[in-house]
Amino acid sequence: MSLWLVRVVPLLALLYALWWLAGIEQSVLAAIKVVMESIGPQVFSTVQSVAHSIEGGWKITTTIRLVDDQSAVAVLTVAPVFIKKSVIWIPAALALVLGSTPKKKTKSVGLALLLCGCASVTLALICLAAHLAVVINGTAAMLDDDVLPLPPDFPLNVSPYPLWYFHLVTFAAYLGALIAPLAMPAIIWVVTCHKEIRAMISTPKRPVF
Amino acid sequence: MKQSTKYLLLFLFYAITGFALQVTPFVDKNIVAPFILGTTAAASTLIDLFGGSVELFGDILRSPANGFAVKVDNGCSGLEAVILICASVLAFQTSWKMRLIGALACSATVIGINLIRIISLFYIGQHSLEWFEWAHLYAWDILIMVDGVVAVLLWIRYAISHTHQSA
Repeated sequence: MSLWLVRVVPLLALLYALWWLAGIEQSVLAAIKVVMESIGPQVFSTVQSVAHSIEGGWKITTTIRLVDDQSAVAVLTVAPVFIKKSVIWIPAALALVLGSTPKKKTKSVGLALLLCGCASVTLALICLAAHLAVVINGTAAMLDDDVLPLPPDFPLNVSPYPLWYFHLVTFAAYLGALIAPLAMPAIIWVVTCHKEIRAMISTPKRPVF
Repeated sequence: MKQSTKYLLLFLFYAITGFALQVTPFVDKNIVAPFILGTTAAASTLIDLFGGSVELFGDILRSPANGFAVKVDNGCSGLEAVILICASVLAFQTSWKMRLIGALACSATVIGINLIRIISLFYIGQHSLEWFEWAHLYAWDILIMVDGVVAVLLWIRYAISHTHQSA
């Protein structure tokens, strides 16, 4: 296991250096935004478009009319920190996978990249869904108020989501923002490298799993 | 079902149950809030112990020298990492006594590292807000994740060798 750590720690440093210095983070965020632009309005009937906001996050234009002004539609912003949370763990996941597979890297890394992509898009969708739920229901999430913004202080001409959906999606956003950056690298590592992990923790006389 | 799949499913079950309990108002008020206050007080005591200067206001650490303050919030207390660690320990098939030892030992490791994290962020923020953001958002999350993974792997190795010796 010490050999594994010796491989993983420099890989973490190297991949995160590349992540920032080579602008990979910005490219990945741009790719996620392109995906959200195309699937956002398909998944959520209330979403009209997804664009860049001035702060670097997303500006979501909805189809929801304001009660006081029927010509205006609700626009919400997703802060950059929430969007970053859906991708910042990717180099860590890749470092764990690369550090565990000295041979036959291509298959494991390919699978890890695929899982990272799917998980990132899912987390971004959850983030968007939770922001929409707070706006549509006009209710603050029961959870930590730093994870989701407060609802608007003006009424909207839209039926609120069922309460169970509201709590489910805001809970998922909480998991996505606070837990996923910690858990996702380890989960992807276990899924892609379970044979290597088994070898790492097994003793000669007592195999694991 | 493969053992590794069973482990992953059990891990997800324990983790999601733990987080669902964590966000209930009762647990938030009676466990999470006191835990955050305790963590902040422990960080303040450690800073004092090593000759640093800090003022403690509940869950806020403030520098008397320049007024910079950090608030230990949900997600900063280390409780989330503790839940993940406990889930990964409980999901492993061994005796309950061994799981209890693992959960306590691994949680203590993560709580200890998180105290260092809070203290380091308190000092980093006084020098550069940009570096504070970097350390807060990226560096410490990764270090705690690696620490948790290593702690659990070491415990699994210990649990296996102990079970083997007992058998």
